[in-house]
Amino acid sequence: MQLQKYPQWLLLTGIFLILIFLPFLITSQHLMHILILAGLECIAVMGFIAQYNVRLITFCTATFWGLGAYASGFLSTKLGMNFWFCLPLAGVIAGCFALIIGLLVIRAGWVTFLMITVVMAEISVEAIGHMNLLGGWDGITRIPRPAIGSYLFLSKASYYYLTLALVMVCVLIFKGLYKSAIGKAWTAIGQSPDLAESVGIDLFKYRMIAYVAAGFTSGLSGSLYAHYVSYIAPQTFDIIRSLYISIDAVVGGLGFVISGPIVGSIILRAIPEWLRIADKYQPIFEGCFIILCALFFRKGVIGLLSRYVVRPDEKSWKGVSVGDPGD
Amino acid sequence: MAILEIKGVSKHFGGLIAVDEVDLEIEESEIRGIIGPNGAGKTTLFNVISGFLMPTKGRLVFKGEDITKLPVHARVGRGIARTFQLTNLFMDLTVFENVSISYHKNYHQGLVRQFLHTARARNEYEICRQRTVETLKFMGLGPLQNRLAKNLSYGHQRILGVCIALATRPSLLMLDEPVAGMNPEETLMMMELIRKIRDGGMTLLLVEHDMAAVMNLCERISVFDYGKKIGEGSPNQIKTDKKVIEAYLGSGENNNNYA
Repeated sequence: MQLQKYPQWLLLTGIFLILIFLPFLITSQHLMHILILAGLECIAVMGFIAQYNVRLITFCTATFWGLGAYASGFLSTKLGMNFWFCLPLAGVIAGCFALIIGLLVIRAGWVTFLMITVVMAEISVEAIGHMNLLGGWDGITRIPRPAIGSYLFLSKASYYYLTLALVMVCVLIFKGLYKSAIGKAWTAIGQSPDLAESVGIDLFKYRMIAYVAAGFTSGLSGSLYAHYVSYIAPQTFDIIRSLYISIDAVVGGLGFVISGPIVGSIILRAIPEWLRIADKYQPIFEGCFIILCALFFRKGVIGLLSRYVVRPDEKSWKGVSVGDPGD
Repeated sequence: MAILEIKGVSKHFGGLIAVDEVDLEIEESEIRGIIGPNGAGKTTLFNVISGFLMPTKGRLVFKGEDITKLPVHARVGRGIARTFQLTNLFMDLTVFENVSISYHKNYHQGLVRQFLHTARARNEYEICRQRTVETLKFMGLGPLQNRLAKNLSYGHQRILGVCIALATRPSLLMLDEPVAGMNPEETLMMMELIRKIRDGGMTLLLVEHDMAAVMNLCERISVFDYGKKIGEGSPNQIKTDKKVIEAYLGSGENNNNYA
């Protein structure tokens, strides 16, 4: 354990410094754009993994993401609210939706839960598409840019820092949760729900916390997304987007709750965009990666890398592989 | 005084009656054995008591409080802990983590405090850590505390299972076949541990197939067959009970028919 700590700390500082100075190193605006998108997506992926850890497999991560985006878009265009109010409000709205839906469906068992999330992902797109108040199929356009005083966020670099800050906030939220007794309970549920219950862990309560935390952070991410691209449409948040988010999680490594999502979403979002094949070959790219994962690195890219850093026996539960969830 | 009273409990699975109108009283700090042939409904009764199954009929009273409708985790909070027949551990965690998770119900700090990692929450972690070390030492797993649960020997895994249940600080500990599949040496070790736990003032309820172990350990034994309780008493009484012998060896009449 001691051996592990030093390089990890060094690694984190190194990565942080690189992230801070990245806009000065990258001149390509296109690359900055895809980094921002990857950053926003990785927040949703963290939520997915938190839910996966308590054995809730969900296909509506993008729905909560979209909920945040739509909440923010509606509040800012129709009610003329400031971005800095919209951002937390979007999170709270998405979190409240997660709370209500969670209360209804989490007790249903994981198969039913999964099916309901699939249905929800489909219905929400249809519902928003038919709602004139929310712009229907045309979506919401001209969402105002965030501003501090007279400074307007316009350049890619400024959005990059905004995204970085938001990712940091979400990392801190999830890190805090995982480190606390809540995280311990999550781990226990992920390892064996029966045993967790028999030592006094309230499965429903801790699943609920994971679900709402994921909804809240996804909402935050969606809000920034809406203000960044300034145009949102229902199709952006369909089930395929949720599927991509879950594939990000698998590729990064399901056992790596913070680093996995970041690496996974950068690999799957950035590489195809960077090679400019995203619009045509994205599904093929995602498919290839998930097959590679299943065949060669079941613990994800980070699991593959960490094999060379830590001896398998020294690390504890972080090496959990892609397995059958069961209940 | 009875710590647990089971009053007329039945459990039906569709048309199958797994547990039929069972009355049982467990006295404080005794080791009670439940035995019976395969399919006698022992494990079902066990699941009903721990809350994994809800009884079709009847009531459960624990320390004077009706617990019939309580979910599993709430029963653990009242002081009922159980182990599993098959080895059920947090396999990818270390021995230490396995036990410290079970101290979960002893955290009294609210979720917000836990999340913010305040001094009081940290203090609780420290207490939890100390208790975990104590429990492991008590059960003789101290030297193995940094090993992953899945890398332990079978005997040690079973002991860890008991440790996890113990760490919830129960007043009634239910063991589902604690010595099943163990070699004689491990069986002796487990029996020694079970006595040690009882001497600490705990009430134990165990389902077991190993007759030698049950006869050796238990003060009182309840015998089940086809979901019904057919006998109860000290090991010596049970050994000579006519109904019990019939259940295990078949009745004389049936034997004559085949002869």
